[in-house]
Amino acid sequence: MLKAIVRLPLLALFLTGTSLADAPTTLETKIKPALLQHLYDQVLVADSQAAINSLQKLQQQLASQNISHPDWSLLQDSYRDLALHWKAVEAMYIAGYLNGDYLDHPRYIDYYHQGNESIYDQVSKALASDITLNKALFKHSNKGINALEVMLFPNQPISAHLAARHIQGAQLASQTMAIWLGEIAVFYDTDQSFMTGGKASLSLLVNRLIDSSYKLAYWRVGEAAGLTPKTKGVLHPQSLEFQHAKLSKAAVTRILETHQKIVRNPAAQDLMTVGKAFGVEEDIAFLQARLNATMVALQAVPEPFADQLTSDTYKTLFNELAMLQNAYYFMLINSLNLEARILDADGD
Amino acid sequence: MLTVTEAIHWLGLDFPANAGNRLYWPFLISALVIGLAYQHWHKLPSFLTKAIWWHPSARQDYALFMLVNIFKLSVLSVILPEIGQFIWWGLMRWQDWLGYQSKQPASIEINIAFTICLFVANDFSRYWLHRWMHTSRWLWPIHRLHHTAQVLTPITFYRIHPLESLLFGLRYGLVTGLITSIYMHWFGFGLHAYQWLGSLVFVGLANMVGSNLRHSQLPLTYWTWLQYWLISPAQHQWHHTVAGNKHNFGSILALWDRLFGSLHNTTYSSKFRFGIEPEPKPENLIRQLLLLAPKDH
Repeated sequence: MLKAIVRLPLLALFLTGTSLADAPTTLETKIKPALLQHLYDQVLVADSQAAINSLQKLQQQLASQNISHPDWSLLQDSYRDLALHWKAVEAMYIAGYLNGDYLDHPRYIDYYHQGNESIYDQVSKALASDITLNKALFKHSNKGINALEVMLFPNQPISAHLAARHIQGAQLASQTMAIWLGEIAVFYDTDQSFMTGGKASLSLLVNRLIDSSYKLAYWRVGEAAGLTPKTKGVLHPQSLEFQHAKLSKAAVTRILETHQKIVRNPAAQDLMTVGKAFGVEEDIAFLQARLNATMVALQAVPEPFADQLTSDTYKTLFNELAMLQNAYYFMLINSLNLEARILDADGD
Repeated sequence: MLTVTEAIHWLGLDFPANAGNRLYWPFLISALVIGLAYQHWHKLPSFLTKAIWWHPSARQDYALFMLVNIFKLSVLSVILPEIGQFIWWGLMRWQDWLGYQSKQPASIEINIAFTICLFVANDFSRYWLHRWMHTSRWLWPIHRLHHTAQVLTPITFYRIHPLESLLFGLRYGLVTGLITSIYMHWFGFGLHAYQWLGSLVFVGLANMVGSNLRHSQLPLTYWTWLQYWLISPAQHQWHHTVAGNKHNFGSILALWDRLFGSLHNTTYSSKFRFGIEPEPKPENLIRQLLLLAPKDH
């Protein structure tokens, strides 16, 4: 009887406590499938389709060229189109998290900031050699988007023979890229797991935004100007992305535009909407302000980046990008459900 | 002009309405129910008498609770960084030391591990800070105020010097900041600490099963084997006795006391005489706050 007296109120309290527990008004319930569908369709699917379409266009142009006297300007325009669409895909690449089979696809397409090898030296040497291109360009890294840049942006007027090697090499590289990029586009087009993933799906995107903001600041901008711990004080222009195609600035711009599509888009199916529902609207507004400020700083840097590495505007851009990463971190921290009131953590 | 609501907030009288502190009303009610049942079961003297709750020492607790709350809201809230700043600081350090790490989505298992890590690290650091407050000649005068209580009520938990509040706040910020930031370094968005009734789930559970009885006159004892794992209210009360204040520094887990040789098991029939002097006398609160108490330790 006495035990029952003890147990019954305890049981009642536990049940009451359970019902009083933090209500399930978590992020999970506030992420509408329509929002995920919109982001998926308008960012992931749209960008991957645009990338594969631009690659196919380039392949057609390569196939229709007089390979000894190609129209470099036409091919270079198509390359720019492809490269920038690819940057958008890469910035928000989540296929590898949705399906492990797709984890390495970006590494097979893009070798920027991978390893220490010089793609430029390797590809130039292979093209200048007499070895058949299939053998000369045997490495994956010689058939990615960085190799394609070397092939389509020769440094000086080149002989008809070498031009033909460049075009044939570009055909080989674009075929290889088409495999990987095509698989990515098909995966996004057919996989539906993102839409049903709720918070986990949103986590994938936010983690990619943070990752991308770090790489923007430290890889794509800071490193070349000696502004990072790795290159501290020493200029390192070869760290710039697409420096032969002079797309370094355009790549940064396209990646930031992709961020904007996720953070705030005209359809209001974005992080801001999630933030409003979750009561962290101010954090997202701050993030959006930082994104805008970064865009302004970016516009202030003349092209090409390689000529601006010591300028104040370039340093300002780096600082803005670093602050953008901080803004993502602040959002991350405030999205945690930790007890913020330190002062209640008293002693004993 | 201060409104009534603001005055209530500044004096801390809204604690029972706010989740995330030990005086949250579900925790008070659970302590009351468990306490009454235990008292009836073991035929113990009432722990709800006026002699206890209106004892001069208890009245000091109430005054100090309000005073320290004003100090926290006006001074400490300004000088202590927010928890987010500690986490951000940690994130920057990990990025410098370990390099940037692409963030993986946090699975349920990771979130459970994160919750456990937060709890264990906080409990461990509480143990050591509490122990140092007893063993350090510099910290003891600060912590002494907590031990001059001659009767224990749940409000005695808040009978602490403002400097102790600062130290425990820093401890919480540093430990939570370091643990959270290392997890965030690897897992980023989606990281989640499981909570219950506004507290970390383990703390919420401990509060629900009677943490408020730790500072009470009811010597609620667990089974002996359990007291080797969890600190019972009676074990903490033993820590408040003249004879026992070098034992049972733990907060929830008894593991640390066991590991570091300070555990003392108790029974509900143990003799409890609270305070720091064999013959305790009421001490002036202002003198204690000014750290002008006699050197007795």
